[in-house]
Amino acid sequence: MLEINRLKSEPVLLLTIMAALSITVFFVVWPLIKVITFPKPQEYLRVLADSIWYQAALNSLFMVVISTASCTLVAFLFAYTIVRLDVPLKGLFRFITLLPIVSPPFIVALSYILLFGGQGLIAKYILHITIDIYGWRGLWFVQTVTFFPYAYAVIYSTMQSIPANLEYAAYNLGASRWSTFKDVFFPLCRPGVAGGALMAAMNVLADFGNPLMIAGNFRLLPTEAYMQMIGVGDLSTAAILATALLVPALGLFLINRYWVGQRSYVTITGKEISLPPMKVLLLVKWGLFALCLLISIVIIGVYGVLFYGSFAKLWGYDWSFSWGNMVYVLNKGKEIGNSLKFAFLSSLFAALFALLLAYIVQRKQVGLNRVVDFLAILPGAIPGVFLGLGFAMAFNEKPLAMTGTSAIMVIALMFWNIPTCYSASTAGLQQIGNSVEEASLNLGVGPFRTFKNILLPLLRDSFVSGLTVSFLRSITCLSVVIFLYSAQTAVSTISILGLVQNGEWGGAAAFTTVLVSIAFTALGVVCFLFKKQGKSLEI
Amino acid sequence: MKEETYIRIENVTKSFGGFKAIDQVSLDIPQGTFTTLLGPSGCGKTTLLRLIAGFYEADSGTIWIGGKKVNGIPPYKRNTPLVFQEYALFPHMSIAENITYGLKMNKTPREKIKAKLKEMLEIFDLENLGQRLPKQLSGGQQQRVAFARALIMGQKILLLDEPLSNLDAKLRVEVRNELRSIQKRLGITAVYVTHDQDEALSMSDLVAVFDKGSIQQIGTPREVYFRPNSRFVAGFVGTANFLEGKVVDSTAEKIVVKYQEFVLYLNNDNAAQKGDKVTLVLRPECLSIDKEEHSKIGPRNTMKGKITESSFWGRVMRYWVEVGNIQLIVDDSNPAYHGDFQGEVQIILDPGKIHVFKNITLPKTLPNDENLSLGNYQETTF
Repeated sequence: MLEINRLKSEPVLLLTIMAALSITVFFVVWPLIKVITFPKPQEYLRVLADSIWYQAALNSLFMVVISTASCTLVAFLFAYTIVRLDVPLKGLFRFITLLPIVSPPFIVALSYILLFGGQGLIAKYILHITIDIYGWRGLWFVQTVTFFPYAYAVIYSTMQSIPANLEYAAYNLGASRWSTFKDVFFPLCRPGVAGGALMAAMNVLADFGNPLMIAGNFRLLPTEAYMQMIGVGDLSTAAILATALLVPALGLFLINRYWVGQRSYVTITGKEISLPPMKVLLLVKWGLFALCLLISIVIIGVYGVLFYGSFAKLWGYDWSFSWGNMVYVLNKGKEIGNSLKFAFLSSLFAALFALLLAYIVQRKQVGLNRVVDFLAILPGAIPGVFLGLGFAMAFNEKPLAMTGTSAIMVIALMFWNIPTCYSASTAGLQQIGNSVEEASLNLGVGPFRTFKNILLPLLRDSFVSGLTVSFLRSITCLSVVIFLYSAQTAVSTISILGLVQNGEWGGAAAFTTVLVSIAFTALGVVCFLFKKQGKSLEI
Repeated sequence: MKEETYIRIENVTKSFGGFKAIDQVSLDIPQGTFTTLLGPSGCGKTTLLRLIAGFYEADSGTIWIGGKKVNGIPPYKRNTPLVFQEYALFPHMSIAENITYGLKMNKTPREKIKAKLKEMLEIFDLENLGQRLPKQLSGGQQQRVAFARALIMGQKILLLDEPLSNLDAKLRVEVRNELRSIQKRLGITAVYVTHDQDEALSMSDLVAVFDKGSIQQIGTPREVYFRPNSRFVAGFVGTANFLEGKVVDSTAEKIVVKYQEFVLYLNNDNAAQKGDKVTLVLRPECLSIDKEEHSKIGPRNTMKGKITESSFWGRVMRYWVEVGNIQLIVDDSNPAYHGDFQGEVQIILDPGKIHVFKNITLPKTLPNDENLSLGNYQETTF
């Protein structure tokens, strides 16, 4: 009651909330409903009874289990080494954990083919063997390398917030190294490990680029949904498979959000004196270091071989230097231009819209908050394949027919990125105490000018970091756009996929190199600007 | 004191969910005074301050400022500058920008802003810090910026929400005096929220003691300290020993109170009559202690006891003395290097310093006559 009265006295706020809510419902909930309700009930029964799809679901589950386990393990090792050990090359390790996040999702798969495939550098010219790299083993390796950084980010931040003082307290009470680790350190890490594992699992489950390239005959839900729609034109089966993918994805997401996701934003007061962590056994220290180094070398190898492939005349046959691939790519200016344009526009809109949503939820205490909050993070639960399919199905007819337009690409990527930007803005807002705004109101400055003068400048950093991450995700996105592009709106990732499918490894490598270079340039510029102001970019 | 009321709180109630933070509170704050809202955390004192500033709206009741009803007026139109507990300086603005923000926003001419800024920087000893950012300043300096930012608005009112709680003890005492003298000089009506009784007593013209959303007592610092109207006030404002006795004889000026085997001759401030049950409030510093054999005064207004514990605090020596079945806290305000009291002693009561109130406001939660094993109620002091 009170709430409605309050909103009545603030009609602009009420209108804004209603508009934001309608837009979000229209672009997030409507495509969901459209996909789920497209097939008839009996079609659901038919598809679910088909052993091929049953197998695909089992395969997806299998990959989630093994890849999540390996991702989490590698992530834990990296996090522990970086947070707790006094070893050299930490900068390199940090960089390694960042690389896959800013790269196209299929980059590791592509390098893997270049290394071990029929014309692979290692398989053909070093070991002289022919191995069948297509299948779950290759995919397992590729997914581990690709997705461990997502788990790492969560585990790292948890581990870093654990004061070494607690371990000193345990030692002080007579605990051994092992029992301190087992009884104090690890239990404190557990929420981070659980959260990291869930992040990895969500990414593995929704992974589209890697399986498309190297899973071969090993059927998985995302790739099969794509094949059914694009290859066979069976929209019903595609929708059912996508829905089958959505259910566990939503489950993982909800667990993450409401069980382990209750992270508190601890502000560093600078008052607490934290001791340097206790030294670990030398064997453990250098053993972990060696492991991290090995993984780092593998990942550097992944990028190195791509770079090499970009400048080899004909991969697998003629390894001499050539500009041919690069020239070929640069002639594809339209796709690159599209990638840049869509990524920039979508991330900008996402950042702006997410800022509005975050402001409403954090600062305007109205009951709709929980709904707005949920809708803002919901796209994070939806696998890219599902979102792409949903947009393709929902917006090819009235009231909004956008098939084949730039608009549909931009809007789809925008909503795909809303959760990223929303989290950044929310974290930013939570760090600004209410009293700072109140102080401005108290000095006679109205709400609108307070927002402009106080909140906006203070939110600039989180806005830019959300924008940057969204830009990187958009420019390297394949799963969402593959359902939506037309000849006029094709983007780089689509071209790369085409080149891979035609066996044109050199072109694919060169194109990927260009794309990664763009991503890194963008990231580099933002990092530089932040550094100049003495801040660091949080990704 | 017959000043005009500047802020009038009339039967104000404010709930959050089911919790009544402020319950039917009324308070008149005279113009140009320094009024303190004192109470433990969660007692509603900050809520009342925020109601005055307009960050909350009262559920019922009226708030008047300068003769004008302010209910429903948003905070940015109330002209009630507030100094926040955590300062709430704008982290992205320089000190000068912080201080002049309000004036800039209300379009004060540039020259005037400049002059006022200079004045504020001088008053608060911030002259060379104008271009720094808040995080480059010490806590004490940030605090002064917060004062300057509120005072530069030139309003007749200043609200302060525990502004000294983040400073270290020594600085707190200094700023206390500074603040009081500025308030007096500018003739501002200040409303100050604190849980620190020392601050409340040393700075205020008027103290309103809060508990559980209501005002327990309003009075001058001396009144709430020496004439508390309840155990809560006596215990919260300073340390107090309580004795519950019965009036065995009374005149208009004097009463005789019997407590256990002791007979006490006291002043009759509260029109107590024979047969009344009364509570005596004995401040530790109003009791004196002496060796038993040195007793000169004789049996009148003395009590025999035994020291169970003692603690040296520098300017006082505190003793815990067992008297009958209760324990009294006694401060010896003139301790020496040698010669602490030990063992059997006698405690001498000064009738002029003992406050007596009748047992009508006794809260249910406090011990009744039978189990007075814990005879004192202590809050942190000094």
